[in-house]
Amino acid sequence: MLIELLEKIFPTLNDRNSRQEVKNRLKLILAHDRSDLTPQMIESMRQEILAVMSKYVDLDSDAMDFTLENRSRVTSLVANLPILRVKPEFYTVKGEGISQETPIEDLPEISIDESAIGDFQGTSELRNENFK
Amino acid sequence: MGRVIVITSGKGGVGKTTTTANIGMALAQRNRKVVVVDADFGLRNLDLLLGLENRVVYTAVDVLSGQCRLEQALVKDKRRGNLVLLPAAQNRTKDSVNPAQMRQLISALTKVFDYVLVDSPAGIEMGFQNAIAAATEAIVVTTPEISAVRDADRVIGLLEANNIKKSGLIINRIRPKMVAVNDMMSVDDVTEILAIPLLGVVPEDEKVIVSTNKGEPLVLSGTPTQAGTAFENIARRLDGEKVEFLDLTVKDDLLSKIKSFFTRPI
Ligand SMILES: Nc1ncnc2c1ncn2[C@@H]1O[C@H](COP(=O)(O)OP(=O)(O)OP(=O)(O)O)[C@@H](O)[C@H]1O
Ligand SMILES: [Mg+2]
Repeated sequence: MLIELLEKIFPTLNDRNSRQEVKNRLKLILAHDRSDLTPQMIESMRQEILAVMSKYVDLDSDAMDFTLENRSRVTSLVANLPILRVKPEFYTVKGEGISQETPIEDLPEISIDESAIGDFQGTSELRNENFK
Repeated sequence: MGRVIVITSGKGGVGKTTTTANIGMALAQRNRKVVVVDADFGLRNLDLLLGLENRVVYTAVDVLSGQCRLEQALVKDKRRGNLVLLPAAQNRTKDSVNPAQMRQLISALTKVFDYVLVDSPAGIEMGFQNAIAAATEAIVVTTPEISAVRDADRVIGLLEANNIKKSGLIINRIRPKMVAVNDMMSVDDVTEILAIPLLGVVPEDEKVIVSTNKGEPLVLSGTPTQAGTAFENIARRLDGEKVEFLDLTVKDDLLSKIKSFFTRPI
């Protein structure tokens, strides 16, 4: 009796009420009902998605999150897959390749116009500075 | 061409037949030509709620098997001549009719009536398939309870899959006092979860049982009742009117009680 009275005066005391509880239970169960996906399908989707991503990146398997959500009757798969690093073979700047020797006959010919050299005089000193 | 509206729910006993009888009668009071079709073959109830059980001679099954003509099976309401009932067979199972036959039957009815209201049986099997076969609109009835809402959600999915695009929600048997103390989901809670437009809210009302006893829909009663007014409002909304929702919230906390004590007229 006293508890009920207190709950009426301070509604926040009654936060874990059956109304909130039933809403939470319904939301979770309906996300699954509506998707028509079996738990097995969700699990194989998860594994295949991870396999594809793991070809390119290393994932943080501890922080991964893979759940179904439903808003306004549309089900979405919400995946949070933290990427630790890109796999070395996909680095955009590659160490090798630069040092690889290209046969000289395959390179395009480079010509120089001697009479036009003077036009660059003003900047050439600066450049030389930089190279020191 | 009349509108064909199926009243359905998934879960049994949530108020489909009560809703069909009351909305049918309320639309008839608005001078619409209405036929209510009992699609609950084998467990018919609609005749009882309308008090027409003693006048049923033929049923939909007799029409389909050629035993009688469609107009012979229609039972005219004695209070409102523009409301008729197409009874379901009581001695047959749900499998004695198929969706194609239902479409045939109902398409004939739409030529004469403004509204064809189909009272669906519970469940999602054959009887449900029959009930929705000819419908282009649906009224989904639920109570604010977990199993009823879950089943309603399933039915909404099936209605969409069957190309019934226009569905309205009725939340029946709401108890404002329980909502106020957070022991029952509110209208907003249920509407948010089911995510279809709200057509009406009907409170829990003992008068519903009294009206069933008498075979007289609440909307006919001289003295207004909460549930009766709710059904009338639903009929008006269906008919295209814009009607405010009943305010069913109770101010039950201590503060409001104190306030109302001091502000009450002396
Ligand atoms: N708002 C209400 N207040 C009080 N009682 C109600 C209300 N609505 C329905 N009932 C009661 O609930 C019971 C079931 O109602 P009804 O027969 O309309 O449900 P139904 O969905 O048609 O059931 P079924 O699935 O068996 O066909 C009846 O006893 C009825 O009187
Ligand atoms: Mg019924």
